[in-house]
Amino acid sequence: MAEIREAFRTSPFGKAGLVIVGIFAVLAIIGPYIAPYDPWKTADQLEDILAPPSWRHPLGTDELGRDILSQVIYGTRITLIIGLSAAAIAVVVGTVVGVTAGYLGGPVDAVLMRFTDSFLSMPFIVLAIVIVSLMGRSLGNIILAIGLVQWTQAARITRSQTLSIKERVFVLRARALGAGPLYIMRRHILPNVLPLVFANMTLVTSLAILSEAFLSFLGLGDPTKFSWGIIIRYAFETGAVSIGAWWYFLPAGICIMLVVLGFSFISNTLDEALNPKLRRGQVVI
Amino acid sequence: MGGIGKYIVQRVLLTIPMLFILLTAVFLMLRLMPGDPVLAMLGGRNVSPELIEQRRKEWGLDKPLHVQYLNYLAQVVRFDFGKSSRTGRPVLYELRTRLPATLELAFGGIFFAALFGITTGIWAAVRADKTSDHVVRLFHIGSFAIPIFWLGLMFQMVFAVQLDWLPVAKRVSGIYAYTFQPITRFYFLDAILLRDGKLLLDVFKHWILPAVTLGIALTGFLGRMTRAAMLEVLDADYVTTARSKGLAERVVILKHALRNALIPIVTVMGLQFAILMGGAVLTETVFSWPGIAGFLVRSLDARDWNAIQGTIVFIGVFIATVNLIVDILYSIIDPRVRY
Repeated sequence: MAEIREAFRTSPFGKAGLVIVGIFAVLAIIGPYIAPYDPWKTADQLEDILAPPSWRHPLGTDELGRDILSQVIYGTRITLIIGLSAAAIAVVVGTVVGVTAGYLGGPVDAVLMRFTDSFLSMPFIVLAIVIVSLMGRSLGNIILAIGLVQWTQAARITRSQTLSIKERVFVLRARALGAGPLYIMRRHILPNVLPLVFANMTLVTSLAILSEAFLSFLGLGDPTKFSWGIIIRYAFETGAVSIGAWWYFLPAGICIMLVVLGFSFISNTLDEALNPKLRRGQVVI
Repeated sequence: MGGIGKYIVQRVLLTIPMLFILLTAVFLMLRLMPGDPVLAMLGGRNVSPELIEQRRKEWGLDKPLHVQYLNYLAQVVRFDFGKSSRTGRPVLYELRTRLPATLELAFGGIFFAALFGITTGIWAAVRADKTSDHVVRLFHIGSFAIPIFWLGLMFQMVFAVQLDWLPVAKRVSGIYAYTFQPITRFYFLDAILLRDGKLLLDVFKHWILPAVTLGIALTGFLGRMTRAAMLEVLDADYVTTARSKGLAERVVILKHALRNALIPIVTVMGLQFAILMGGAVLTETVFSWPGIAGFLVRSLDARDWNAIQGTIVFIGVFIATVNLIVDILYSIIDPRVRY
């Protein structure tokens, strides 16, 4: 814990990440109370259709005269829920696979790791769009699809950590005393891989938020909700680009970028604190 | 030479089980997923049970799962993905005619990613821990965070709509849509073969925005790799030797350091092909680029079962093959890889 606090204290990026994510987290919680309009409320008058930013609508309106600022504020909650839940699923699946493969070793390890490798040779986004379009465009399915394609990193990280922990004396001693593999994995391995898993989860959250935006942009978002990706999709469908309605898609894109940056800064800082040697460079898509 | 032969055989043998797992996963995913493909295809409303039965038979879905699986494997091995129910043509034909468009875009993406990533990476490494290093690193991290489709929309708005320098979308202008008969379907190559300078310029103007967009998606990754690899070699003894011989700093960096740093960079670039293909899906959608991704998205909308299965398998096999080729080429260039 002390190293983590120290890392955030000395790193300006780490601090920036905490501030950005903090602001959006607050917005996600209180959003519906501070949004100026109901995001679904359509315009009563013609001049409110695709209106540029004004005092009445600080970020303008869409083709139905709905307030973009309110949509972006409502979208914060949905986007964060999808990002965090999908990351949680990914990390749980990855940890189970990684710890099992690492601890049991042998053929189990070989099979699980080949499976992980073949997952890596498929673009995440292609798998996710297939899963969502077959299962249906709902919030739960989107979370599940993203979770199910993003687990490979966590599996690799926990596997290599498990390999080193299982040779430590306390594990050998537990085994000599007759502890079973399930007990050792739960009581000795898991507590020791959790900090790395947690650091990985912040990174996977940023990837999951990007993945949600990708899916929504391809028309696979939950049509009953506003997420940032869905707002950009609507802007794309309306042809906001060719009519110069920049206010329609600019704010949501900037929000995605800021939150993804915030989570990556936090994850970088956590990594430096937990594992100074860890080198990174993973990309989503 | 024996070493290389052995390595290639080993590497091919490793790829086979991977492909097998991939094929099995695709099969299970499509069969066990909720939602009946036949019902979905027929629209689900007021369909007679006889018609459903008939379609099941036609597609072999009435057989037990293991028979379906063996039939599927037999089909895939022959690269026979059946007919697309949406277009009525063989899926393989659809994929083959769209592949050149996707590849032309992908090559563009790799080119610009290398151009931006490697130059900025060298810049950052040479000026490590100075302000310009921090700025470049921030740019690298930023390029991870930008949603690529959004960047594409921004480019369209600025360069195509506001400045009106470039076309918004598609591969060629409308005037060529009916007159131009593609030969190879690689439009750059076609324009050169047809000796049509105007067409070449037109193709270039359509290609540049999507290619740069896709390139930026990989720039951050390559930039960070380059910076790390350069930092490592800049400390190496042979670089110090080169410097102490009094060689110009330019020569030391470009000739002595970069050449060695490039080896890991090139490999990693090859392995990023899966990510590149994923990025192509989004870029193709933004720019109405007539490639494989658009085909997949439309097949999904139409629940075109054969086309969905065929496209995923095709992309998976394609990426695995590219990775295999990159690995083998790499082992020829750098014998250290072969252990």
